[in-house]
This record gives sequence, structure tokens and C-alpha cells, in this order.
Amino acid sequence: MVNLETQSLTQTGMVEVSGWDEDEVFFVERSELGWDEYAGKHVTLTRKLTEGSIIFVRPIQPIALHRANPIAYEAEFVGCSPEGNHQFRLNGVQPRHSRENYTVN
Amino acid sequence: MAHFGSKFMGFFASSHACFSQHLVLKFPALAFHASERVPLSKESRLVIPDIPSFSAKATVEHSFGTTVASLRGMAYATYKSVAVSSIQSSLTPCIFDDDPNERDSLARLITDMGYESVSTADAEEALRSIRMGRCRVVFASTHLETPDPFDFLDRALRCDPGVHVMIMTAQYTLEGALEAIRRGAADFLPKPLDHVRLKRTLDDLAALYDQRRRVRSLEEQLLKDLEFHGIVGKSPAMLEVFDFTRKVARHYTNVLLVGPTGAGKELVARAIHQISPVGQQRLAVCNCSAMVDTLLESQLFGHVRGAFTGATDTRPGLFEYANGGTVFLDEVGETSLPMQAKLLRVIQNREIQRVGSPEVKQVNVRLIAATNRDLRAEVLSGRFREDLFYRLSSIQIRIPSLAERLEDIPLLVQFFLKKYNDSYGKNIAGLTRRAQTVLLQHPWPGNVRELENVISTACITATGDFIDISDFPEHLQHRTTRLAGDEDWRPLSLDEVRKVHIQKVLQMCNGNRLRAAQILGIGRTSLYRYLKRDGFGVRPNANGAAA
Repeated sequence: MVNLETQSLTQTGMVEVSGWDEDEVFFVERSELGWDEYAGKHVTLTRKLTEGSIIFVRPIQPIALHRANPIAYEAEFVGCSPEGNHQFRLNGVQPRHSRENYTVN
Repeated sequence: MAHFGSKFMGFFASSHACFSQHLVLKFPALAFHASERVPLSKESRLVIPDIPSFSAKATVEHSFGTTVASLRGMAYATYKSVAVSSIQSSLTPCIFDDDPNERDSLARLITDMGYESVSTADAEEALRSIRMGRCRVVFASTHLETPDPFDFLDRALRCDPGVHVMIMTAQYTLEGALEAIRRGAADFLPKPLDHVRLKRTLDDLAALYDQRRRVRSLEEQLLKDLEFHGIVGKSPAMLEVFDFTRKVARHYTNVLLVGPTGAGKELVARAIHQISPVGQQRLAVCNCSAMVDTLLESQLFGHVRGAFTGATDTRPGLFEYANGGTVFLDEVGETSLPMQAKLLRVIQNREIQRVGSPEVKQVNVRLIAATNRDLRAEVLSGRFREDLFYRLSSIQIRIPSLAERLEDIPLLVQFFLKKYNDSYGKNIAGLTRRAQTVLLQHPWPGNVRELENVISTACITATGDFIDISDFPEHLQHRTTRLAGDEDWRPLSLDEVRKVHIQKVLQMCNGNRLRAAQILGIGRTSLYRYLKRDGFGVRPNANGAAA
């Protein structure tokens, strides 16, 4: 299922990114999802994110039969664009299954 | 075990439950503490009814002053023979005791009661079992003279806030019991353990888990019933939206959806399209804020080859694609004035023109537009065309923010849990109470979209059966600290919160219900319904003020 969603992401390009920025404020931004074999998936956002924070990327598909689901990624800061926007590499997030990894707060 | 005792007796449908009730009825002290003596009558008779393990009735005679120990032993012997249910097998009590004799003895006893147990003298091993979700109940032996006798209890609850920790001690004191309960223990048991009480405690817990399982099953059924084309809600505000959507879907040409971002406007648009007579035709979705004007024009109306740099082929736009169906224009308030003029032409004349082409094409589309802006204010400020606004807003549906329908949060949580359990291959049953409290007190600026992201994040992080605060994003975890310091806060039900809030707003508006309804963001009819429900059913006068 995840693979199918990922595939559709690379086809459309336009995405809606949502999550919490470094000030812990919820945001929604439209952006373009870039993908290449070496750098993987990346997006450019106007706001800063906390390193390693989870963001949700939803493909904007004008002619899709159903509304696409948001997919969770871990954002890794890559650098700033000449316009001053922030570029992030998107790393896939694996849901934790083992209770051995549980961290106590 | 006061919170389990009488509350869940109704679930004991099996013969052993009837028997235990019979015993308790004749000898109430059987339900109490082991060290207590029962003032029995001189010639009391205990009649044990027919149960599968007892082939014949047994009658026990005893004299005044006899302790209940022998009766308890009999009762326990009867309990032993009761069939083991599947719920019992999943309870898996963990015995944590440094005395090997007591540990083994308790393990044998629990096994005889029909429960599979694990036992250890190592606190870390016990905590590991809790962390891994192997045990739902822990019997932990403690010595009250140690510096922190409840250290294990604290650590166990940190590992899994849902675990039931029974503290066992040889030095029972009332203060110790109260302290243990205050710190989250499920019960405080004096040694030696009262077997009947132990059995009842375990059965109560098994019944509790059985009840939760059945409640979850009913909630799942309820969720199906309350789902409206992928939208979930049972609040009056959402039921109004569903009702109005059903009504307009058959007859509309243009609909304007108004509501904050993340409230579910696209889902409502899809529902309108599905219910409409053109539901089998195509639906095209265009997010007007995601594109610059030229790109938006090309996407909506199409272009011919060579119309602009990069236009290497002729392509139809979304209006042509959805001809005979519906076009959904999201964030229409973000469009420029020239683009608004082009949209007006489509609405008025039902005709489009591809970029770079002189040819005018007729299209037959229904239009649903959505915005999170106050378009009337935009018209007044000159940023939105008045004629387009009136064309679009002939039918207007307002989607409430999540803050306006907090009562939908549990249902939405369940909906998203199911969705992400399926996506992530998990089996999370629900949220802990404190996690639910956090969700109910968050202001939700990002509305349902934000809630979905929170649940999705928690489903990724959680490794237990229940989502706890530590599974939430950081800012929600911090929020609990802030809430703890909020002295005005009281754990009110949603109905009470609504009642108090409505009264405050009405007072602020000097009883003017029309104004109050506007501030509350609900219809006047909804306000009247709430007031009637809350016992304030006063008839309004002509200007909307309370008489």
C-alpha cells in the first residue's frame, strides 16, 4: 500500500505538506515534491522544522477517484534555497512494532 | 477494587458468579477482608446450589464465632472447578515477589483459579514483561519500611499506564493503602492473601477486559452508522452539515463550502458529488492556492500546443475533463481578480476557452467552491468579485471547526485509529484516559487534519495496546504540564462544558440568542435545542433576546 502511494507521489509532483514547525505551530503548505535516484525525495518549505520531525505529505491529484492519504516522513534539513526557503530530504518512517524499543518518558 | 467490585458484577453470567453472589448474600463478610471475623448466627446454614462441579448439595453447619476461613476454603474449592474463559487466559498475571515460597504458592493458586501467570523476583524482568504487553495485571510484593516502597509501582505505570498493579504487603496500614491507590495502584492487598478476594479481583479484571472488548465492538458498529461518505461526526453541527448536504446534493448547480482549513471541505465536496445525479460522472479537484495564475488557467481550461513555453502538446483542462460531472475549486478565495473573471464566465455562460485557442467550448459542469476566508469581507475590501461571490454563494454550507465539535473527537480518534492500525499493521485498542484528556483540551488550530496527523504519529510511535501521551508529538506532551498547573480546570464532561460555555456567551450577549448563536458558530435552531436540552427552554422574543 505504501509503495503505491509513493509511486503516485512521484507521478504528480504537487503535494500538500502538513506538520508542526520548529515553534510547534501546526502548518499546511503546498509544495512540489522532487525525487531523484540519489537524493531521494525532497520538498522545499517556507518554514523551519525541528531536525527529525515527522511531516505528512499528501499528493494533490486533481483527477484521482479518492482523496489521497497523507504519508508520514521524517524531515532532514538539507539547506536553504536562494530564495531563503528550507529544503528537506524526506526519509520514510517505519512504524515501531517491538515493545523492546519503547522509551519511557 | 472498589471501582471494579459491584460495577461489573452484572457481567458474571456464569454459574460461579451466581454461586459467589449466593455466598455473599448469606455471608456478606465473605466479600471483605481476610482478617475480619463475621458475627454469624448460632446455627447458620450455607446451602451451596447445584453447579457443574458439585454433583450434590452440600450443607455446612457451624457455630457462633467460627471464622470464615473454612467457608472461604470451600468457596475457593468450588471456584477452582469453574471453566476457564478465553479472557482469563489473556490476562496473564505477573507475580513479582522476592520470597520464593510465597511467589510459587501464589503462582500455583492463580493457576488453579484458571489464569496463566508468570512470576519473577527481578523487578527489571517484571517491568520488561509489562513493557512488552505480556501482562495486564501485576501482583507486586513490597516492604513498607524501604525508602520508597512504591518505586516499582511508579516504574510499572510509566512502562504501561494501563497495567493493573496490585500491591501486596505483610505490613498493611490504611495510610499505606491510600498512598498506593493515590499513586495509581489498582489495589492494596495484605498478606496472606484472601483467596476469595483474589479470585474476585482477577475475575473482575477479566470481566473489565471483556467489557472493553465488547464496547470496542459496539463502537465500531456505531462508527459505521455515523460515517457519512467518509466523514465522521455525531455532533449537532455535523449532523446539520450531513442533512443539508443530502438536501442540496440533488439540486445544486453551484455550492460554496466555507470553513477553516483542515475541517473537511474536500470530503464534503466529494460527498455532494457522490450523492448528486452526476455522481457516476467525473469529479476534478483543483487547489487554486497551489498554483500561479498561468498554471492555474492552463490546468482549469487546458491549452493548445505552443500557447506558452513548454506547451509541447494540446491538453484539455479540468473543466473539459469533468464535463458532465463536477469541478471542485478549493481555496477559491486565493484566486486573482483576472482569474475570477474567467471563472465567472464559466459559471454564467458554461463556456471555456483553452489557453492560446480562439475556440470557445461549451461545458456542463456543476461547481463546488471552497474557501477558508470570509468572502464577504474580501468583496468589501475589493479582493473578490461581488458578482462571482453571489453566483457561488447561492447555496452555502458552513463546515464547523474541530473546536466547535469537540464531542466528535472520540469518534474521529477511533476512525483514524482503525485507518492507521490497518496502514501500519498495528492493533492499538485506544487511548489512555490522560491521552484522551489532552486531545479534548487542545485548541486544534489545524482541525481534523491536525488530529489525523497526531493519531498517525502516535500509531507510528506506540508499541503498546494503548496510545499514551508519550506517543504524541512533543508540543502535546508539554501541554500536560501546563494543564497540570491550571487551577481552574476541572474534569467536566463535554455536555457540562458546552452548557457552561453557552450560558457565559448568553450572559455576554445580554440574553440575545441570535447574537449568541453567531458567536458560538452554530445555528439558532441548534442553540434552542441545546438550551432546551440543558433545561433553559425559554421562548425568545422577536429580536432574538430571551424573554
